[in-house]
Amino acid sequence: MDHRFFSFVWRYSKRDQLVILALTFTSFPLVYISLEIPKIIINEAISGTDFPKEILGMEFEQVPYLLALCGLFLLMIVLINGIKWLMNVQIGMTGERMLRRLRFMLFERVMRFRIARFRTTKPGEIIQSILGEIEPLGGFIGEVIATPCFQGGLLTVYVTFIFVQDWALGLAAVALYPLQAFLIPKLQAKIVRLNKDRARNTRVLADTIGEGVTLITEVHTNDTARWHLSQVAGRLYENTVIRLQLFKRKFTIKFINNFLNQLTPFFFYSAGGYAVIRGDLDFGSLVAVLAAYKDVAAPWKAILNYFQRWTDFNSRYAYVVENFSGEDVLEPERLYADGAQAQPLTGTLSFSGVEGGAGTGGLTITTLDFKPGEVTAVAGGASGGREALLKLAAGLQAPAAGQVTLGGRSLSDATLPQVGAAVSYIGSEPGIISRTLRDNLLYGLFRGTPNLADAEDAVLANMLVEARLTGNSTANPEGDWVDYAMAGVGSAEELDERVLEIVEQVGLEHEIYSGALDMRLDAERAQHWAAPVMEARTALEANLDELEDVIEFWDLETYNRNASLLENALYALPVAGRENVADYVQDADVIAVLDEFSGTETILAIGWHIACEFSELIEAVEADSAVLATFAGYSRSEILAASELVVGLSAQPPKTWSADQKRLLLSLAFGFVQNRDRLDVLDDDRVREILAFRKRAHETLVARDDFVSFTETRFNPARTVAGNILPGARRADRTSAWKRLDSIMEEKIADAGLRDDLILLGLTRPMSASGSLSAATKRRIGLARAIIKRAHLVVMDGIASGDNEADADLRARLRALMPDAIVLYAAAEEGATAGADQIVRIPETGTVRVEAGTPLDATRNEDQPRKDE
Amino acid sequence: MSLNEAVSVLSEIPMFRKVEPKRLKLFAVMGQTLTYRAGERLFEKGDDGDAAYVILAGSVDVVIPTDTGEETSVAVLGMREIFGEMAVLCDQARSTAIVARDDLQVLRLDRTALMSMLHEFPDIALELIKVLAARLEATTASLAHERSSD
Repeated sequence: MDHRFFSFVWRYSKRDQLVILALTFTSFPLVYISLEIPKIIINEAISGTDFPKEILGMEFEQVPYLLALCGLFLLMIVLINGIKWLMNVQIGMTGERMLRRLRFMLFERVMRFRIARFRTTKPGEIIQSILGEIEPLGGFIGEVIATPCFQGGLLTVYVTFIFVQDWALGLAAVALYPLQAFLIPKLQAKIVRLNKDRARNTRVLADTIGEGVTLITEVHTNDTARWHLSQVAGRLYENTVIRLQLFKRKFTIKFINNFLNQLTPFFFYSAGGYAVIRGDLDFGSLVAVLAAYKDVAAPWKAILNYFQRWTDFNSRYAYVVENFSGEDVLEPERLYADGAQAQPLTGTLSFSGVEGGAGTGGLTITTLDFKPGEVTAVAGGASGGREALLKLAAGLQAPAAGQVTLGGRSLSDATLPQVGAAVSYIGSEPGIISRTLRDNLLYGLFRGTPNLADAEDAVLANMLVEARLTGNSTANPEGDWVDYAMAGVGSAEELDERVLEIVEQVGLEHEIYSGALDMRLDAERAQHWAAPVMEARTALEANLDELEDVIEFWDLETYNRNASLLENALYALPVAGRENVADYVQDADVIAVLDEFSGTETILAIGWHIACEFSELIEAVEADSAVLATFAGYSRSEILAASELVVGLSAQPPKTWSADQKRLLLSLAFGFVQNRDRLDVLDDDRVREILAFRKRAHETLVARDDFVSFTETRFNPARTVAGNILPGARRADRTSAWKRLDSIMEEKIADAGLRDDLILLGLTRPMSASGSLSAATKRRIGLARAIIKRAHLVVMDGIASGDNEADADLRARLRALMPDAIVLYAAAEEGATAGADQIVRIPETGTVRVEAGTPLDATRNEDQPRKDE
Repeated sequence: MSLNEAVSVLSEIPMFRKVEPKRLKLFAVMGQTLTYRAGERLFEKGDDGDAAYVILAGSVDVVIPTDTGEETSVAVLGMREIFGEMAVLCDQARSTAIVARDDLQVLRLDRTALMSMLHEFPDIALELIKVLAARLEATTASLAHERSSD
């Protein structure tokens, strides 16, 4: 990577720079012509006498001549501005592309950092460097060559003109330039240093902020919010102090420049005036020189300004690049290896003469072998030895002395493709990417690198062009990254089958399944689901007695107290789905139906009543009370908005309410579930009114395609899978029986042949990186990843480590699923070593001991699961 | 059970007797009204103490396992009694299991709701302390009684 800004710019953008330069010079003659034409218009067209005039063999009278010249003038303006437009786009795009290239290069460096470097590198600093610090470079890169050429050219022309008029005045004009050239770099050097300080401080600030966010659990449990705030405030203060220094220096330079620039005319007036009086210089020349000098000032200022930015950005660039260089950046070949260098390592894992070094509890291993097909329990070493051994085995840590090899190849020297394809490490909390659950399970197979060149899409083709212009990755970020061969399957369908099998084996199935019940299907897939879902619903309806205790069934004649008011009123839901029932207030069709069959008034009245109840409840607490956040059905902000509304509207009749106010009241009412929210807002009269509305609207809604009535046996994609299957609403007071309901649904869905589909649906559930997943689930996902990618070496620290049936079972399953793999696991207790082929004991001091275990086959009895189970 | 019915049950509980109805209604809204059938278990010994309960109707058995692996009921709690608050306050696991004796209605206040209630209304915290102190006194007395009868 170029360590000098200019070499970076020149290497990657010389062509663009030359185009910009060419455009700049093309505009010069046009500008000259556009200055010349007004003179001709005034002197020859308006004040001229000698007509007709001849242009290009055609004769013109005065008025046509004037119009022709004006037309030419207009054409010049269009041309000049057109070229300017081209130039600006070119300058902007050159800067943007170079910025993209630089960012990509820097992040690629991050990917090549050795693991050890991340112990001292903070994410906040990296982000700040890649995003914030180099951002201003983008605006500058496009002008790096054009600006000095253009302004320098202008300056030369003007100064030459002055010298031609009078050499002494010419000297006077440039007399102070050497002084400026001497002073300004000196002051500028200090500014560069300050800019560096500020950048350094901003990096620390970014990290301090990041720390406050990632440590939020600690902040809340230690009451350290004020401490973190003051840390950030301290850093902000530093920034202010540096900025003040910067301002002082920057404006001193400006002061000097302005002063010196205006000092020159002083010489012109005094020395020039004296020369005119003495008759050594004619008056016209002095005026011309003065006018020319005025023009000189602008380019000179631009050049000084350019110089300031140049030094600033040079140091900024160097400072950022330096942060991404060093000995511990792997060579690119280690990242992009292909052919033999990308083949997964296989064979025995061997430790020889290994010393763990600091922080490993003095871990020392003379020789130690782990053979394919063997399961090893790692016990002891609670003071860091165990964790270190497992990390050394996975290549996540380099030994202080000695070697760790897999199939004869040192893990510290192997390429990332070699290690990544062979090794799986499942720590206490495996990382989750912000994608679907399926992507998370297949993360270990993301080696396919789909090329943009293979895509036919026009957008992707353009993406490829840009990627090539900027030295970015030409892989398609949204393409199919899965390496099917690595998973030992030939197609996506086969892989799905395998994933289904594996999620069941690692115990993720139930979690995925119950998540899927609460998901919606897109209309396209709904086609395929409609019949079986309705079948499951019919099957459920056959056992109504069993369900009556958990579900309040739909009944056209009665109000369902466990369903929302909107569902009760419409006795149907639109096909266009919304996240919450209250959001249907945005649905014009729903509002139209309410108006058409005169239901709005009743529902508004109920909404008003709910708002009044909230406003009364709020009187009992402070507005910022935590209590307000504990309501099940309504958010704190809804409650506050409702009570504000009541205060504002209490004296006004409903007719005067605004559309927004009505919307709020309707949304409060729409989402109201009697048995959950329990406010006394539904008396018998209101229930009767709602039911009467239901009757009035029912026939129309049943006939409409965009609504699905609860009396219809039609699949409604707006509802969750469970919502479609259940012939009613879950009873709000029977949450204790919901789990039983889930298993009943599971059974019926399985009977209808949808079980696998449901799990596949669950696999499309989006995960957020920090997420609501428990650590145990994350570990299971990590384990599933290892099995799916058929890792040769599986290292587990924190999963399947206990002396209990579930963990022993998980270990047995793993052995059955991966009979040829090397498996290492941390044994948390002595009992957890049972079933291992080999036990490695790490003493508090001294060398690691190895003993034979009691392999699973010897201990296996009828109770233990077999591969074919 | 509607909110107002729940409030009238709450207002008869000694701990809440001095609390104004408006606030009682707030507690009722903060909680969930849940129904259990005879024999259903509200929680098991060893579960996380994530909520406290007030009995609005019906009664429960307080159950502990015996040496023989069976269970025995050590107490019966009825309407207007509060239980489960100890595990929430002390962040402990449940020390007993609770089983509904007949059709049961409870107001369930989860940890966040109960804690914010105690934070914001010191008079209720005070009443709760009184309840706990009375319970401690009863336990001490029965221990003393057992010792003396040994």
